[in-house]
Amino acid sequence: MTRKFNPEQILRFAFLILILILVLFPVYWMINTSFKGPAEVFQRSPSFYPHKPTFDAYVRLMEPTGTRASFPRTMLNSLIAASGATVLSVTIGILAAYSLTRLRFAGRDTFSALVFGCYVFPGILMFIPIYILYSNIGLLDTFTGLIIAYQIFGIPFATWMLRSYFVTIPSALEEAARIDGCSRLQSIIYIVIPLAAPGIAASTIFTFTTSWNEFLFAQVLLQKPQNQTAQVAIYSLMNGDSLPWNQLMAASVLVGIPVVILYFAAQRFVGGGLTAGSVK
Amino acid sequence: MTNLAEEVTPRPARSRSSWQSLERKNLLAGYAFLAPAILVLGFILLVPFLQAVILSFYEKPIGAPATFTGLKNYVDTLTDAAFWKAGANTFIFVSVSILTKMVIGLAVALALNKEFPGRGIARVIVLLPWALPEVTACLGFIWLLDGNIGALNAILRGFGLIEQNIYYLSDAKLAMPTVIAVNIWRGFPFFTLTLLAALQTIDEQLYEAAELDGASSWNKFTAITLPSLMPVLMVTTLLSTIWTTNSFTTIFILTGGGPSDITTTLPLYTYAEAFKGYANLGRAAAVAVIIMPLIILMITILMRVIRKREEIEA
Repeated sequence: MTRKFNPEQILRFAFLILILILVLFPVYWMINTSFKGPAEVFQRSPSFYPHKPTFDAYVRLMEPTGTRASFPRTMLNSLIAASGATVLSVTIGILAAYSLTRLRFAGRDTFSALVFGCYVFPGILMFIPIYILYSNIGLLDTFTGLIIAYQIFGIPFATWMLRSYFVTIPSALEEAARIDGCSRLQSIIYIVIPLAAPGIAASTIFTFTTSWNEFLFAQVLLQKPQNQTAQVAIYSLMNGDSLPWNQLMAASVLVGIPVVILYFAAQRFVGGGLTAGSVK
Repeated sequence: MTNLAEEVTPRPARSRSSWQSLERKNLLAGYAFLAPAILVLGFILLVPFLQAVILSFYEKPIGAPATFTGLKNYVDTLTDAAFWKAGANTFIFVSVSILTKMVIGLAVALALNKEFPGRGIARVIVLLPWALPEVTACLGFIWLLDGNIGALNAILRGFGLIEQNIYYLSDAKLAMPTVIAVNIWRGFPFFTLTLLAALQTIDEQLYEAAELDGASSWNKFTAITLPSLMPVLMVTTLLSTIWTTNSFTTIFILTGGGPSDITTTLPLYTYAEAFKGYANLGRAAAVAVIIMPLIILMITILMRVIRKREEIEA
């Protein structure tokens, strides 16, 4: 069966190499630019690797400017918003997914459908309404507000993903624990959660990265420079006629690294989790 | 341990009354566990939405009091040529993006489905565009495509393919195709991912049987691969369609909807109504309410498809 170098195989390799170049080059270009000094960035014919590599761009990001806080500070803001949102979503998601898979009650299927509806419901339609609500009740420019806003995708996402893991846990295990005197909450903590650990890890990682990457809500709901998340801070660097491209790319690299690592750590869960119920 | 657990719990044969009490208990517990999700989602989805519906009948500049204007926001929106232009732009942006993502995503999935040295790494790399933050990826492209000192122009000049630099994002003819291309770059890995997962569930024996019958590669693809992928392909396409229709950040960062509204899709139109020029939140709320039925229709179709598939499997 090992027919080497048949035309089909050559075509496949050529195609894959083309795709990999298209995927990798923009990323390489970002990294390349981030290690250049201002003079090299603005050469008319760009250099394909940094001839005078420097950390200049990264160093400059460490200082605050008029329109943004220091970049590490904005990354800390992102970390606060993303971890707060993740803890809340996954906790609420575990309870909801448990209810939707383990308990039989009237209206359960309707709620399942509603959660899925929320999962695909577009946040873009909600940013104006939420902005209005928040300006009325004083949640604008608070991390609490942003964390609650992230539940729009966080809860449905975590619930939907966990649901597909919870259904695989045999209910006999839990019934045994209940007979031994465990309360429902105890049986969740000691049986369901440990057995669904991969699902919980996956939904944690994906809620975190989605929140970390989020731009629109962060841009609209947090307006003070010291509250900016990293994504918004990068965008606010895009000011003026000649942009500090090496700094922009350095910031992009810094913000991108954590998510890329997390995604790759969790990539085997991705396909299954996102289309759970449709991909077997 | 599992065996023991199964032995101790006699599952069937409960008396009617104990079933009823169990049901009542379940109902209570069911709602109790769901309550936090319902409360938070109610607060962040339902309350703002109802408020927006009310506000859509008012004129409400940011930081100023609202005045009741009846249906004016709706009439203004529906008679605004820019609204319909944004609708048409959305249609082009979504249909071209989705079709191309589907074809490339499937082709890459098929190419990656065969065993070859380095396949593991290739699969991880292909995911990269999807893993990167949207803002980051888009900035990378603005820089790469820069009209004066961008790398793409330099490369094309180097190969002698162009003489004059191209201004991809500010050229009226090229802005939309460029924005679509970036959206495809970011979105095709999702198709690859789900389709690759689906490809691995297809029974090898089907192909072996087809080979015995003398089927060509193309025959195998149309008779076995494509039909087996259909359900997953449909769900993936619908999900991606909903996401692409509502995609805001990519276009906002790349062109901000310009040049002269050529890349303004409905989400950007909504944003501009709220925050640009004469900002009227009531008008933006009306736009959101007008678009809502379309989105709900897409979601309903998606849920039908998924439910049908679950029924077939059950």
